Amino acid sequence: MLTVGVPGWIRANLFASPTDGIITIVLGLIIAIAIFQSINWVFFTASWEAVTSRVPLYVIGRYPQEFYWRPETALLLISVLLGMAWRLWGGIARGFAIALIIVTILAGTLPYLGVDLGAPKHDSTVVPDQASMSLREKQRDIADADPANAIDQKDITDLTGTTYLAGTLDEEDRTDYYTFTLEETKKFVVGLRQLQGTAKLTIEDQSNRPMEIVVGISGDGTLVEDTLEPGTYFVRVDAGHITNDSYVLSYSVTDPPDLLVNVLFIINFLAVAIGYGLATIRSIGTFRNFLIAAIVFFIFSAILVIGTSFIPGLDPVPTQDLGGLTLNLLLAAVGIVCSIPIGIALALGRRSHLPFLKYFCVGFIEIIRGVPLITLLFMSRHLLPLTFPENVSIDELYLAMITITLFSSAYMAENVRGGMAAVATGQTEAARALGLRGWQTTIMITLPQGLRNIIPAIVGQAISLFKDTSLVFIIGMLDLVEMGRVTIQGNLEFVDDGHEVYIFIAAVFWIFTFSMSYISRRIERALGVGQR
Amino acid sequence: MMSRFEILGCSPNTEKIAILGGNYNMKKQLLIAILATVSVFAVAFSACTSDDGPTDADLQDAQATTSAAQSALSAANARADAAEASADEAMKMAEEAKMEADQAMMPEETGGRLAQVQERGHLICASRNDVPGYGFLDDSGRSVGFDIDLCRAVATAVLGDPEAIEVVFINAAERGPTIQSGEVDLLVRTVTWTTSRDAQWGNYAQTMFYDGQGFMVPADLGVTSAYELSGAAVCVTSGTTTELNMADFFRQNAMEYNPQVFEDTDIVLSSYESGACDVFTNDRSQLAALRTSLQNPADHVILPETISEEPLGPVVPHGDDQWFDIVKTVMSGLIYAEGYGINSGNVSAKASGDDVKAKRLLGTEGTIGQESLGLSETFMQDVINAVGNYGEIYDRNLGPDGIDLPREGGRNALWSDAPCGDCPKGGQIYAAPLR
Amino acid sequence: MQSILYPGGIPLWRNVVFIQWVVQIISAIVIIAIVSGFIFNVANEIQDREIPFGFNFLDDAAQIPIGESVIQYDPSQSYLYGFSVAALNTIKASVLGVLLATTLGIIIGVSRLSRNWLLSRLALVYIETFRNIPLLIQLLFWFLIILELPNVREGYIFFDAFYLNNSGFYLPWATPLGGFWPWAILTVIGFAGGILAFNYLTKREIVTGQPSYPIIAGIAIFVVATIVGLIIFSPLELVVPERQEGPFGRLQGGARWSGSFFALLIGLVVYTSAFIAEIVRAGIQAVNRGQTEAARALGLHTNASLRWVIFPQALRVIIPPLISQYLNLTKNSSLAAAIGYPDLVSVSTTMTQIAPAISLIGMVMATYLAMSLFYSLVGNIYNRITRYAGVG
Repeated sequence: MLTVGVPGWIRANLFASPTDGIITIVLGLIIAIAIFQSINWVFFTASWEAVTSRVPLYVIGRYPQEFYWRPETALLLISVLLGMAWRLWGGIARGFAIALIIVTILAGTLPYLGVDLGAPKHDSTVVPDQASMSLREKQRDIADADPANAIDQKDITDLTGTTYLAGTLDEEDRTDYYTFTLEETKKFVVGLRQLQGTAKLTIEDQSNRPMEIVVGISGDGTLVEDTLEPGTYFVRVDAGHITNDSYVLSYSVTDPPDLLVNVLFIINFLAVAIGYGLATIRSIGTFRNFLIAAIVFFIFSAILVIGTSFIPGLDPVPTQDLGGLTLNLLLAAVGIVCSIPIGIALALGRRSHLPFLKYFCVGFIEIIRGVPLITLLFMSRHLLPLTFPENVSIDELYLAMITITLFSSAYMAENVRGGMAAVATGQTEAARALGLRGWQTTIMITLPQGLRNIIPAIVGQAISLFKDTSLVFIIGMLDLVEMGRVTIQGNLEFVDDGHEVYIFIAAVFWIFTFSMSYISRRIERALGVGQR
Repeated sequence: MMSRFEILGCSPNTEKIAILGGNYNMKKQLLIAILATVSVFAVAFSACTSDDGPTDADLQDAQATTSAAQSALSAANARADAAEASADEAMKMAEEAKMEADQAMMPEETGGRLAQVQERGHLICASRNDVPGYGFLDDSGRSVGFDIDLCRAVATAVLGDPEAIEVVFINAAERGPTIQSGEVDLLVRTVTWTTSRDAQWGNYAQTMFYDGQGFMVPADLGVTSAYELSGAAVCVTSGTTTELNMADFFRQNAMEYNPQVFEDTDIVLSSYESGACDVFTNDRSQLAALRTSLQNPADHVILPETISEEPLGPVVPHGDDQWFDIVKTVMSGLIYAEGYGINSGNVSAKASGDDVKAKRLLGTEGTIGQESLGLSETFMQDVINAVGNYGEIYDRNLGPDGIDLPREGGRNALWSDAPCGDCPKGGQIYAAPLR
Repeated sequence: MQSILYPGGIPLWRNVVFIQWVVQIISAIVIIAIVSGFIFNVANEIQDREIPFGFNFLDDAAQIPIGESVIQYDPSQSYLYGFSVAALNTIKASVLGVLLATTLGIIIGVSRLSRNWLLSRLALVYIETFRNIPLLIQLLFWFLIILELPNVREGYIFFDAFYLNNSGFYLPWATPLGGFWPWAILTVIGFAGGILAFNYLTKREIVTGQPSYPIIAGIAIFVVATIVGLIIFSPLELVVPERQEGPFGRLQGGARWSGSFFALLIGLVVYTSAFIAEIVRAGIQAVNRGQTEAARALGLHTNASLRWVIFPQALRVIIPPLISQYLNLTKNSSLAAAIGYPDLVSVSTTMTQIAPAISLIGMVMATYLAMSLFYSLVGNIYNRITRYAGVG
């Protein structure tokens, strides 16, 4: 009988008894079928367009594109921390750091490899979306002005976003011209669709010098795309061998990849390296310094992302524009960090012998813990503004932060209380014997030990708070989940893609919360909680 | 001072707190009770001072302005005496200075919403982001849709910039509280105009879309009328009048049914498609749009009965007539622009053309009340340039370029004898004539 | 002066009692100022801005439909009644959820410690998957799965009385007739008699050492009383679901547990059981290893030692966080509106169409608070009992 090696391991762990064997076989079959079905669905059945066409929305919401450097700088700061963590602890931190480097390099280079993950398309200088109705009118106007030019040459400058134009070609009129003027350098994409037969598509500059030619398109032919300097251009459609006379010209102008945005992504690995390097220096690479850096960097990151009117150049971002995963992370982080001091105060208040203070804290904790966050958010949206004068309106973002912090601090207070209760009575007795007063004992002995006990509990709370932040949709904020719901419901073409969007969101949440719970377990083991 | 004591006299809270203090059954607790009462008084006092009438700072401002007015007055008098010529001018100046001082005395009344919006620099609209055609996000996350365009039109009228909007997303239950509290300037969130809402929530400016509630059923059930729906399971989205209308309809006709209420349209659609419910009820416009996204649209029929009237339009907060009138005029302008054949392509031509009515609308001849509204003479030119006329807004969002609801022959065409040539007519879209 | 500042020879500012009183008074002032300021301001603003508030609406006819209810409901009944119907729906889901989540959580938690590698890994995957995904998404997922069942006209039928389809599970159910209350009273008396008999016989068994079968006797008294009542009063009528006439072929009569309810229940149970499993695992691991070894030395099987030795001890570690999970489950049931289960939040949202929103949400908060306090109470009572048992 083999007891070592792979067969031995299998025998010992999977087939130790007949019951075990049956369990193993049944479970194994179920797992195999589930994995096969999932892979089949993910790669062949599912349509991921509702996700892939809006990646920036899911990540950072409707954040203004010209401010993208701010969250990216915040990411650099976090990367420095991650680098430090890698040096200090290795293991999981190293895994995160490497994953982050890969993701950021991909994010920085993909736009140059021609992969378009839904980069914001709108151009803020022109009023967008003057759709084809007004085009028809414009044509009519052009025709009024210059009849000779009317049919052959359509000015499409003012059309932004992705636009579809219907055109016709026939034996007499074998060429259509479209003209457009760019005032800034733009990425220009044009293509022919719904064409039966072949045609030639050319982009020409003012001197009729062809810049891009595609010949022989049929059906939904390939797109021509190019980054064009400012100037006037023509799109020329020449009939080849065509069997029907109508076609659709699709056309979109987008901003070219922003160099700064992508460079900031690509140099992210440098930030990790700097953090790693800093931590290598003996005097810097301590846990205390890491904590200080974490708090300072966190505050900087939050200010960078939200913006403040006190610092020139860091204009506040409109609350409605802050969203996606970034919002969930921001709210959860603010909620956890700010709730620790409030939670400690509440826990101390609850332990107090002063009845008024004690019952106020008990009441606060129990009421907040007793009601769903969703109703708290509703009340805070409608009652908190009433406590301010009529002209002062409190921003939804701060409303959400205040509510989530209060909500979290009630739970934090219970954690702290539990942690302090778990401190051995011998400790307090020893402190007393040394002549410390009651409050001195609490501040210097019980609280620090209690806090050490509850680090895993705090991580656990961070996980549930992170999931709970998805409820801020109730005050009209577009977090990751709400962005998914809005995408599905607001666009008829995506209304069938609910499964895909929800699974994508679930996966994103899972990655973050699983990482956190993994870290929690590591800390638990390191601290030896529950083993004494 | 009297009013403050009245308020405190009415309040039961002071007593309650005193009783609370007595519960601890200790002598010194009395002290707490007294202090608590004092603190309540203090808080109430401060609350009253900040709410009632002008504060000290306001009064100081007013005084400063009044003294400025006085000095201007004396200066004007002096000049009148010295020159003996421009006496009229001086009087005018003095009057203006006086008016300024008066305005400073009552900052709340004259600084209406228009001034607030112009000072703020953007218009705050409460709308939605989850209904195709009416209010949703495009791929770049920009708010678009019929309701949003109406918001943009008002923003263009008062600020000259269609992008100067902040769209606050609210759910159906929040529509009332949001507009009542006046925290938004405009509510355009597919709000059905009803009398009790008009009384409680805010003022309805103009019906911009006529909808009605209908039913969709799978064709193979053989149902041809809403009166045959007895015993059906009916799916509906929560938080709108849709739910209440459905309840009324079934109760009125003594029909049994099983309601299933969901938050999200996609879940309703999934339930309906899988047969977990037999009937899908919603506004007809939404039903028509959603039917196209079903796997086989031809397998589903929308029943002919319309069980409710749903006139939709923008709502403004109560208590500011000027603002109410501005929104109404902008909406009228959009409708008449289509009637007069003015669109985003020909605004400048029409403004200098020979059609008197069009020129009046565009502010190049006569007036439609711009001065009393506090708007620029040519504000409608900016509006049409930025968002187009009613027809353009409809086509872009609800028509062929949007969710493809036919307008021809429906209620949302212009009124029968609208002056335009080839616009859809015979409907009910009609507004106060522009004069 | 001297005697006031130095009562009993101790300076007043070092007098513990005095300091405590000063702190208490200051905190009282601050708290009262904040709370009353808040209330005053809000009350004033509600009046000034004419925001509808009040509870007069509660007696009016609710006029809103509720899809499923534990007690009979009709839209012409009052708001208060409609609200209670919704509250009962929430309670139904949360109580069943608590029971099932506990059972499943214990099974998964024990599997997590199984010697079978695959089983314990699978338990780990289960825990890490389900507790790390937002519940809302899980609810939608389960609901969409249930929709995959055939519809009501093509669904499964068992014994001509049980129907399973994507509208829910229909089963025969008893409805009370005229004799219900006498029967109910008799049953309660039988139950009390059973308990009394059990106590008496248990005591006798301990005192005399004779086997007196207390459990059997207690149950027998209860069952006999119930059955006699059934025969005498005929209080209940069993109603079997039947298919209605007409094109829709819906089922009527009996009880219906809707698809939404099942999705909610499955979602809550699966989500919460992942947390409970971790609590159970931690509780079992917290029991001293020596206990297991001692149980083994006494010749107990793995299962027996788990049942009789480990689990009772682990329970004291498990209960407090478990109560907190029950609380969470109850509050999480407020997400039911997304999948069409008419719970408290869902129904109140509909009611805000006509009734004042702030009042209604306030009532919702009060109801949840009451439920939470109930669970806390149960937890505290349990804590007290176990503490006494530990001392004794």
